[in-house]
Amino acid sequence: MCKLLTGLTLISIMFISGCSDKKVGSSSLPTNAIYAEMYITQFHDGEVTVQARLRTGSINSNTYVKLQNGDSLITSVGRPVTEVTITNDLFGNLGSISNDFRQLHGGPDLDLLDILYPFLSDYSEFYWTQLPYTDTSQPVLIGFYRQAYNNALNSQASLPPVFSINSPASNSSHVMGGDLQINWDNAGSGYATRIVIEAECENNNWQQEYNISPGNDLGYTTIAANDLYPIGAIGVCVVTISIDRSLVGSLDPQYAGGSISAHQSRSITISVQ
Amino acid sequence: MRCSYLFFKKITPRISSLLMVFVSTIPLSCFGTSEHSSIYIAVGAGYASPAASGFDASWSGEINAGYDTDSMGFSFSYVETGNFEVINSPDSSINMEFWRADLYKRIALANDLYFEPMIGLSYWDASAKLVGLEVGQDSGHDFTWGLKFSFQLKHHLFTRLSWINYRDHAGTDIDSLNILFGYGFH
Repeated sequence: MCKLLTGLTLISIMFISGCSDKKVGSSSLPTNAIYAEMYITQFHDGEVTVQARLRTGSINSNTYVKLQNGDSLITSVGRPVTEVTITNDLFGNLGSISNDFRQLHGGPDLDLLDILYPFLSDYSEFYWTQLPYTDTSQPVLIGFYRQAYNNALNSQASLPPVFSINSPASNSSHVMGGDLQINWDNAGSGYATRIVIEAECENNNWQQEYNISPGNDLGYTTIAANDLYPIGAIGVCVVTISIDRSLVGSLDPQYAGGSISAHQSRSITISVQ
Repeated sequence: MRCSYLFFKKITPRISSLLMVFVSTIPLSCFGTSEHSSIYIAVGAGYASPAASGFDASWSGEINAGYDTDSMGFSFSYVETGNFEVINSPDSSINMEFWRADLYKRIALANDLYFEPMIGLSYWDASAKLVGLEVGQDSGHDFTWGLKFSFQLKHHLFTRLSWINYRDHAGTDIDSLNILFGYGFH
């Protein structure tokens, strides 16, 4: 009896929770019914993380697509897999180029438990992989290889120039006395810069964004004292300063819509009191 | 360098081909009627490993049939490997299969235990996958050599441990180590 009541309760919650995300297999979805969001991010160690999330229809959809039946997302540097043909020295050739290609894994689960109780899991998980890639001169491609529908192989974006945060020094301590200037190198134009300040204090958390539009990156900006040490905070605040440079790429027109962008991301942590 | 290329790519396959043809023309009686002899079949499994950096080893399976006496033998084998995965790209791999004809000397080490150095010729077929997609195929033939140990378990049953070196035409060595169990028809 208890099991029955528990089951009925869970099923009731499932139907009541209309805001929960859903998921659907890709085998019944043509490419032009899929909305794609793709992010390519290089961190300070040079590795590139590639992420993709697929929805049905549009960005407002809360139905995410699970790849099925041989459909796959593949990222590569400079050229799509379809341009690769190996005829001689299979070991030598495959070994030399395989670092430039990766299949994206993950994405939303699609098993019986999740279908019965979709509110139990987060469907919006990204497909992702990492490329051990440091060369920013070639574009990174994300190809969508379909078994039953049109391929979408021509989504690509180029990484913005690499940079480092010069000051303040990572893990440095600061006594709050006013605004703080952040400096980074390799400033330039043609990309957007977003700075996120996250302060975790003993009694308060705070987040603030600073956006620098393309063409206005001078290699420095000034952070207001209140964003480093929020009003009313006590004790030490651990502040993470993240700088993200981004370039918008071009998404394959086979998709219903979406976006692809490439990012250089750097962050440091300081303490402020 | 040029001589080495000619030897491994051109000459050794021809030598081993001629050797096989020569051996196949020898009447079985020439192996010595006074010796013990048998036709056998055997199956086995083990692992295979390419001598190419960045690739994992894989399983291998083998089935063969042959004829041996107390002093020598020959066999025909089919060998299939699993996927040799690229270590840092698990969706990329090479799969191989071999057809092999070999001739081996049998040296008795103890009662029912033989050491068997062998030479042969193999035809190989390989296919490559890059991130899950077929990107290449290649095939060829080359000289093969190896070492075997065989042990007579019972009157008809035997086991054989074989280490075989194959080579594709780009010069990559592939080593397999298999243990086989066979049945001899005396």
